[in-house]
Amino acid sequence: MTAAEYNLCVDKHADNVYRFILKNIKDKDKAKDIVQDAFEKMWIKVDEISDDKSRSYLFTTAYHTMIDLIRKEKKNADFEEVEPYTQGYKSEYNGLKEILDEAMNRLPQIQKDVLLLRDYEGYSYEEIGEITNLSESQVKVYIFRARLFIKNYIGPLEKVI
Amino acid sequence: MSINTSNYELYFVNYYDGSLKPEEIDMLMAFLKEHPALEDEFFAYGQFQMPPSKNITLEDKSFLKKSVGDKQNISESNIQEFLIAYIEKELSAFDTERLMAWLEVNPSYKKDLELYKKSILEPEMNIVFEGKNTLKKKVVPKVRRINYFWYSAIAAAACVLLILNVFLNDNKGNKYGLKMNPKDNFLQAGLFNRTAETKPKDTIQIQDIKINNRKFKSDVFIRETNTYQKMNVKGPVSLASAQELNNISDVREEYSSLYSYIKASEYDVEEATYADIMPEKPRESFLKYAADKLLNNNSTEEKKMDVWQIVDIGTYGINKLANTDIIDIKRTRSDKTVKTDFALGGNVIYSNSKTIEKK
Repeated sequence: MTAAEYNLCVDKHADNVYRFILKNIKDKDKAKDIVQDAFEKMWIKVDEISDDKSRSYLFTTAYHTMIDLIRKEKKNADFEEVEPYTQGYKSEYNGLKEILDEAMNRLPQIQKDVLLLRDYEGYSYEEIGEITNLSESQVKVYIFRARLFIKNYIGPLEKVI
Repeated sequence: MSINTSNYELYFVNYYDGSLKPEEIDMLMAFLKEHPALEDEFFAYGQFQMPPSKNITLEDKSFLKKSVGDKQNISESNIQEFLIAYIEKELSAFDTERLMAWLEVNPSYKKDLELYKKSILEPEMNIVFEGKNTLKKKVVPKVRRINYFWYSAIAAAACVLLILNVFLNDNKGNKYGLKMNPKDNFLQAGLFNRTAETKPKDTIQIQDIKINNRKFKSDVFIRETNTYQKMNVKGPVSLASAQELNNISDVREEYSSLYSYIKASEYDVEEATYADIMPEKPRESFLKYAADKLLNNNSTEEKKMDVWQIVDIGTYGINKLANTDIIDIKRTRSDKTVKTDFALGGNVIYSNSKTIEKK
């Protein structure tokens, strides 16, 4: 990849990677750092990475950096753990987006990640597997569980929607 | 059941499988005491136990896997799986039809389908990475390279221009001190400043080729006992300018091939006067090379350069400036056509063909 192609990657993918990370960690500065780190790593290997692999490389790198950060911050965090329903629902919602955000926040980390990659980026199961180090079947299972959870979460709030 | 000589093998196997109860083990041990001749056989069973091999795996398991559509019936127990597969676009047309038919019969599940549709996340396009420019890298090396390339092309053009000046003008009006030897196609290159006022003994001042009438301060090299000294003098104009190329259409056209090659790499080039932009080091090196070519010529009385030496110098200049390894390949045909190919990395990037009339 040439320097010009690399710069084109910045224009094409920086927003998407940033969006994906920010939806996860909710901290703009940290999300920005992760994106910057991913691009720096890609720059180091710029001669080895072809243009068509750049997006996948950026997401993979950013994803793993983010996971490391989350693990560091939440020591011994269980990535399979579901936020309990006990927090209940808010008395008012401003619309579907807010409810979905609430539901997403209650998802286990890995389910949230695969769902974001699927819906935000339109990645295939296989590609998500490559980014997250999961098998295609595992990705399918996590997406199934995430969708089921969200459906059940928004179900009682249907009237609000 | 007690152990006897008809069924003891079953007990041996079960013992090593670990499936014997404690009392059966006691029974087996008592039996072995009674029949010591069977002890070897008993221990032999143990030796032939095959440990489970962890190395043997079924590498491709895909042929065992099934998709949701492989399920024969849609039912309340698997409807969620079908609904999710539907919104994930994983169902075939046939299975989609099956699902829709099932939903018609079980309309209460249509609500679930609507909820699943709402679960699909929309990217928030308002979230953008501010300051993408901080992530970008400058393409300085390539721009420099291409700029040099362009300038070098001008340098080479200058050489051709010189050749053309001599050949096309039939040596008439050669006010630049250039003269072609009609016998051998040699250029008596005007690389000597014969008019320099302070010319030390046994030294030759060499300056650049004069192309236009502009006045520049140029560097002059003086060779003295195999060393070069550099000094600034005010002398005649040296080096070609980009503008100069426009005045001679055929040269412009020929070098446009090289220019196209440069443009093909999609970098902008900036036109400037060669003398203005030529970096000091390659410039020195370029001139030194030219001087060497000239001074190492066998002729002692009159320094001469043939056309190819000039092309050589031009190519050398290109390589020095652009940090490339272009080689020039020269051919003279019987029809007096001379052809020069400029090759880079095994590919000819520019070709120049001229017919030279011998006088």
